Amino acid sequence: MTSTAAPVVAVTRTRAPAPPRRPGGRRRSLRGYWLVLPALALYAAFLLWPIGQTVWLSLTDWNGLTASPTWTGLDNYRRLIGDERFFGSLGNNLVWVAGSWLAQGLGLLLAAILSASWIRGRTLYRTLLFVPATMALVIVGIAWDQIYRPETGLLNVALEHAGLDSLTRGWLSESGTAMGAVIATANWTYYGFAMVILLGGLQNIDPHLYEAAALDGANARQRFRHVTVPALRNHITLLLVVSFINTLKTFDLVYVMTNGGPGHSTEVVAYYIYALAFVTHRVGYAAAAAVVLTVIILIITVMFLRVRERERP
Amino acid sequence: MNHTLQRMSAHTALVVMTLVSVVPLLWIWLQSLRTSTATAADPFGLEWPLRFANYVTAWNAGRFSDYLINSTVVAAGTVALVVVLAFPAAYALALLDLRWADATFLLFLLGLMIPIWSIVIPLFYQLRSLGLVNTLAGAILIEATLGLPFAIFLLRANLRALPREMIEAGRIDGAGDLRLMWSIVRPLAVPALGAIVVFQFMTSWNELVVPLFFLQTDDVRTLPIGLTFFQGRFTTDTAVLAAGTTIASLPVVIVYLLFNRQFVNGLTAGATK
Repeated sequence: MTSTAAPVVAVTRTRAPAPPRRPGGRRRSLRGYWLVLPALALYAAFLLWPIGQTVWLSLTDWNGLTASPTWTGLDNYRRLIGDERFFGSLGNNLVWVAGSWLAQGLGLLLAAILSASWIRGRTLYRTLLFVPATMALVIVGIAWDQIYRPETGLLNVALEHAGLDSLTRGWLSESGTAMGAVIATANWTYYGFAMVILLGGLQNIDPHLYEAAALDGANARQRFRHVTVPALRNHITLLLVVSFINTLKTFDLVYVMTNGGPGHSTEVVAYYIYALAFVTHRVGYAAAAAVVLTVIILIITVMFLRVRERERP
Repeated sequence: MNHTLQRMSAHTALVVMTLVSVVPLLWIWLQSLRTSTATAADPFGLEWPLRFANYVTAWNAGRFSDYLINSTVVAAGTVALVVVLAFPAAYALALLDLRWADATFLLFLLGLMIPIWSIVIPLFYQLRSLGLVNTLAGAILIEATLGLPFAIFLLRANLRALPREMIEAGRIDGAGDLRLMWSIVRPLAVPALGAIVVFQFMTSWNELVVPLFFLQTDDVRTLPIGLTFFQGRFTTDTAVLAAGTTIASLPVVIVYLLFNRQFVNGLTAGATK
């Protein structure tokens, strides 16, 4: 997924049990580092060093063109606290997070249905339901932009055919619907992914649990509620957190479909950073916004890791 | 009766969601075989003969052959670089008793959380001073760097599960690290390496932000960024735009349908670890 892009970020517990030390084995040494060094060098040059630079730039005023940035201390951060456009974009990210949970719920429902023993054509359904998750977000955005068009788009025409003319509108050009339309597009790429992950989790559930529940007189809905959902708890938490983090970074659909508009109604933090740095050339200020975004993501990830550590047996 | 009703509603939900998944793409593909005026008159119709001319227009106007070649070079180069760098690193971090191995691994893990937005600004000036802006090599270096953390994470998790006795036996037979990696560890790591190849190829193939900043001339653009420019030029000619969208989307769907299992494994790798 990509940006995924295909939307995958792996989050793991950081401390796996240490492998048993070999009796009489060699002491821990630095000798093997020549194997790590090439990766580390690239990583340091193109990731760690730029992060440091961004932090430094966030303490300056710079338009990206003049010879050197001017040191302004924490001014950018102070300004950020009073920046309604920044908090508006962060709010849009949070609306997007909440919206994406609908897709995770849908994925759970589809996984539960597909794992029922009486379903035929399971592989075909699963294959087709996952198709949107394989698509580049750029392609998805361009396709749905055509679907949402006021005159020729599939959505409005379908509504007219169904006699719902009153619902037709310029989905992406009205500030009331644009955000919802973009999130719906994103969700189109999410549910298939959630479904596949959860199907993997469902395979691990002991079928005896269902039999026992059925013997106790539990109907399908109760079995879903009291056997399936608790058994999938780890998978569900993981999906929610991964989608949370990915949604905070989201950019592609907004760039392709709305450019943050109309007004700033669909602007997300990543798009605001992009606009600051490369459209209005307020590079130092953009760097400060990027640092804040990174800190938010780090905090959420660490919180998630701690919860997982605690829940591990 | 209640039982039948449940099954029927479950089946209905399944069919509806399957239609929701495929109809938008099918609709775009159909529009690419019509004229824009016909679409405007009746978006559901289809006229004979089919208009394959849209593809000729799109192909010639859109430089799609260049985009496809560039995308392939960047994706393949990124995959190669990630595997060549991540495999030895993961081998050392997982199987050798390195001092500070955990700290080094945590440093790499940090990269999983870093949004590209917190590096892209200085990276642009850094690459410009190296003369790597608007070169495929520059994009490969950046995308490989961004891919390293996940590859190292996934490989290390897999290699740690290998029985250590095998490594020890190889070492006693006098094999060095390179020999051990290639002859003993690599064959056992094939599933994980396969997942990384698929995942990294698709991530790179779909990447928008890196080419947006680092591949700004038409001769080096990859498919996604090329398509956004194509979209800008053909906003009103929906048929040609649909043809371009189809050129970009159909190959992925075909590869996905052919290699379904590997594809799904690659894209979802690590999400459940």
